[in-house]
Amino acid sequence: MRLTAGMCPALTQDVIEKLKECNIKNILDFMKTDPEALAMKASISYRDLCSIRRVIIAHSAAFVVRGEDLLKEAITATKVIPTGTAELDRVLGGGVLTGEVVELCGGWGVGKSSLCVTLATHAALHLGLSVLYIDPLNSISALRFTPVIEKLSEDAGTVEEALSRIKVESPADVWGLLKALDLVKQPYLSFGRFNTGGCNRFNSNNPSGKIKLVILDSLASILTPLFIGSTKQELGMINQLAAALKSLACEQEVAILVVNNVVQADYGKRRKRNDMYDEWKPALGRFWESVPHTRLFIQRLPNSIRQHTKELPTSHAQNMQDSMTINISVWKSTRLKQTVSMKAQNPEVNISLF
Amino acid sequence: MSFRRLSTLPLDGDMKDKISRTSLKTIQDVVTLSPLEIMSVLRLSADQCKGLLDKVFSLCVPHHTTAYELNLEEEKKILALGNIKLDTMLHGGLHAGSITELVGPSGVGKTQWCLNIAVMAVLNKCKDASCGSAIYIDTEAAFRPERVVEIVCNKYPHLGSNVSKYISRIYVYQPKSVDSLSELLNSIQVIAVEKDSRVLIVDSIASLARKEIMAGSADSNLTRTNQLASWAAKLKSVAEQLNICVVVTNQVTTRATQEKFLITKEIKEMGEDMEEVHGIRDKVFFRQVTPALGNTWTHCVNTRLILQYVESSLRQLVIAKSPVAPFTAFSYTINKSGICVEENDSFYSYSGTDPGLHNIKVQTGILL
Amino acid sequence: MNTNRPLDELGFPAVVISRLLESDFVSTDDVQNLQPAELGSATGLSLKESAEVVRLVSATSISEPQDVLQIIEDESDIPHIVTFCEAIDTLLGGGIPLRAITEISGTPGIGKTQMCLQVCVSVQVPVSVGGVGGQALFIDTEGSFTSSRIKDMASHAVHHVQSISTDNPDAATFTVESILKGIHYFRCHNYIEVLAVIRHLPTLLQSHPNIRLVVIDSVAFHFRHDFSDNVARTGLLCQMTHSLIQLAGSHNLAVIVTNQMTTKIENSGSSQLVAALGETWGHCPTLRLSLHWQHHIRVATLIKAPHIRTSSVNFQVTVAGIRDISSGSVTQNMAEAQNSKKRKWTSDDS
Repeated sequence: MRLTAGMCPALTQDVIEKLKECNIKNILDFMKTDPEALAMKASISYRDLCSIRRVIIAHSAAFVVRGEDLLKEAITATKVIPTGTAELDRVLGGGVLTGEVVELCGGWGVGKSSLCVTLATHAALHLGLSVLYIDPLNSISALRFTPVIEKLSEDAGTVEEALSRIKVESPADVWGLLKALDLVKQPYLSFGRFNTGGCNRFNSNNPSGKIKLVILDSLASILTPLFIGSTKQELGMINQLAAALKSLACEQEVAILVVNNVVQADYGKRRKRNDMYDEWKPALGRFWESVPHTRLFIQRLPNSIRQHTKELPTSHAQNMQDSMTINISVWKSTRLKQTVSMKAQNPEVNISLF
Repeated sequence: MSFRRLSTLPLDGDMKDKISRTSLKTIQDVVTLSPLEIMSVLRLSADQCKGLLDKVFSLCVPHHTTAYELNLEEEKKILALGNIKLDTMLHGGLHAGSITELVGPSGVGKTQWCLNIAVMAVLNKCKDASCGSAIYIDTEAAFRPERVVEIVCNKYPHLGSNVSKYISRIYVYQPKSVDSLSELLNSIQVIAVEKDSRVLIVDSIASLARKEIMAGSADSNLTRTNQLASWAAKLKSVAEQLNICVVVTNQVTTRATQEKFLITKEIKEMGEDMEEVHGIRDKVFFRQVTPALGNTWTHCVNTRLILQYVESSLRQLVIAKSPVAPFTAFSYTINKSGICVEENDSFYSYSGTDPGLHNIKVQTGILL
Repeated sequence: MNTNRPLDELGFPAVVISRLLESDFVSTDDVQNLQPAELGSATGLSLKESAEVVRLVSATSISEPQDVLQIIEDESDIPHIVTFCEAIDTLLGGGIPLRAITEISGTPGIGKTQMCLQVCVSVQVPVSVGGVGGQALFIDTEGSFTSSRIKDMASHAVHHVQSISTDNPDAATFTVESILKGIHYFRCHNYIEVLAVIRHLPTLLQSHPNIRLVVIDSVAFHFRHDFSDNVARTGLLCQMTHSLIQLAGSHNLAVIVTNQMTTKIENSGSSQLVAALGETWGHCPTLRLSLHWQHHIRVATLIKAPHIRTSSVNFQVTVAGIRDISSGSVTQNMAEAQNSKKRKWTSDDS
């Protein structure tokens, strides 16, 4: 930070000029230099320098907060966003928390995006929340939403209003992603033609339309194009993104759901866990591994691809009604009790989509 | 294009200045770097970096054409195989710019087909009325000039003393080792241009690779696959860049034990099928004889023609993979005038089998 | 809208960012209204770099995001490309969807290229007959494109269209020549050329706005051979797919890529044929269609799709292109396939 005149009475323009002559341009330089030596060199009184130091320290130091206050704040500020699926809520201890970064990982075609779409629809329709769906793979399309909407029993107007509350951004690169995340900080978002209506049952508890749930599907598709050779820049990027996501979750009190790929774990280094998933590990490397608060792993249950070779499918409408069963297990969590006791198997649940 | 030096590109001076201070030399150096890396090396913002990449890439865009123009071009350069029905099935014969593979057990007539193709190439005029030459790479020392003379004399008796003029346009090379073949293929483009060739025949691609690099360990398998891939890439580029036909022959192999379980089921059915047709059921049918050199190689060839035995004198040509033809079989015999396709004994089907797993019938009695 | 953003989110190189932060320029508000020269003297950045900072800072503004309702309304009338094979159309929920990437994988000779060529023809069926009426772009890496094969398929398609709509003026302009002229072709000899063509697409789409289909046959070829390093390969592949996805969305394109098969060794030592290019690539296509042999029948299995259940159907490759197996019942087809060995050939098809 720069040294500016007026920060404290002793720091006048004159003093700043003198400091500049001694090659001291910002606060950091100032704090690093010994005041006695500086007083001699810049011919500023030692007392002035000390008072400037005191003011700067008071300005920049972090406040001391008691744990009890933190807990109280957490209890009042944190909201639980149920997922709409009773089994999944049970595993997650009620749902996704605001201020939390949850990662969903799984192989291709297991239903990660379908789960995200179901979650977003539930949050918008039944909880009346605004959702930001960051969608670099353009997976939000009429194709994907139609089966979900067809299942809903609400009347068309309500559904349309809810859908208009799911905002979609398709950033082209990581810079676009950071820009899209900025939307969360906006205190007000409009809802197209439902903006003027203003009198529906949800607007009372969420009048501004501030975003409460962010879904990022998928993170790996944004980051992998950057990972070609060097490791230093990659780490920097992951670091920056992780910091951005976490501080966003905390400061803006939103829940963030990140979708990640899995990669095959090296043979020798496979973790000794449940047999079922020890051959996979989340993509994006070790550094990212520690970032999310909760990590869920999705698998499609066997036998869910039906063979139609004996009889040709008569109508695909019938196919669409079939639900897909997936298995979700918790790999890591900072708050779910089950993972603390290492003896018990990681909690897992089977749910149906569509 | 990818090896073009960055300093020769029409970039603005400031950018060139920055690039010259780095170790980046060619287009390839730039595109294989991560965008983050480029940003930090050249001190560019994400936007500028995108602009630079767009510019560099726009210089690498290959020639744009349409199917219509391709079709006009393609019709000019087709090498007929000399049999009307076979040529109809293959849309005129062997297509310039593609790799055709002949695969079959020993003695089934792979070399005879090659000789035949070579003769067709030097004798038949193509549509633009020029007469080309043939390059014949013979790795098995199986090329018999007297056989070529015999074929030409019997097939085209009217040529008389002109025969030697035509035959002199078949250029034969006989590399003896993997290295000498690689070397030959490196210079083949120059040779093909000098001799104005229409066809490049390699008989056979498998023998050297199989002879010198013993299969077995995973390591040597990898070496062989890589060697073949590099040959395939060279042949492909010759075929395309000079727009000539490339014909290679391949041997057969018995399938490895690992996949036996999967395949045995299929063979049984095929075995029964054969029985139905020919009334013989032999142990040979239960053994899976398939084209050698594996899956990656199969992806490289455009057309795969399988040669197999039906009876001791009657042999069959099967179009197992082709961009134009359905699964088709023709019977043929070998006589004085070369290959003779039996006009009336053929069938085709839209089903077929995986060309990599096709079970090849070998001569009974001479087991592999 | 509040547009104050941290400067390090704008995409400057690390050197520039650290200079800015050192001189206490943290967010866009700090730089707003500064001239490049002023910024340069305050931070020690070169004039060019300062100009770039000022440019990007003033360009940052947040636009209203789209919402799902708008997307669904926009896309409600987007047609699918029918393939001429009803079973496959049904399998895909109406045909090959626009605005999505469809991957076709399979062993050599199964008909991947045939499928691509067929779609190149079908995409040109006029709108009035229920088609898309667009053009196609074919990016060929293996050299398997054969225009004479296209000609076959085109003449059958033309025949079909003219037989179902005799008095339609559109049908009259739908000829073999128009089809051949509507297929743009690039032959790529290395992966750089593939990447280059895709970067070049926006320009090409400007001069040929009617292109509705982009085919890459095959995406695997160069990417399997030219790389020793898997990380770099995946990175470039993802870069490529990412731009394809963006283009598919913004220009209303269907994208088809073909992929080869590779042998995957399982833990237990058993091996299995799977699509090449690895796990990360598997996330990129919206739909994945796997073609394989079952005895003598070609089978298409949908293994990933956002909107319908995955299942399998049978199809065949005929002179006319990709078609249903006519009888519909598989048992009969099995018999037919076996009988075909005896069937003599008739020249009426060619």
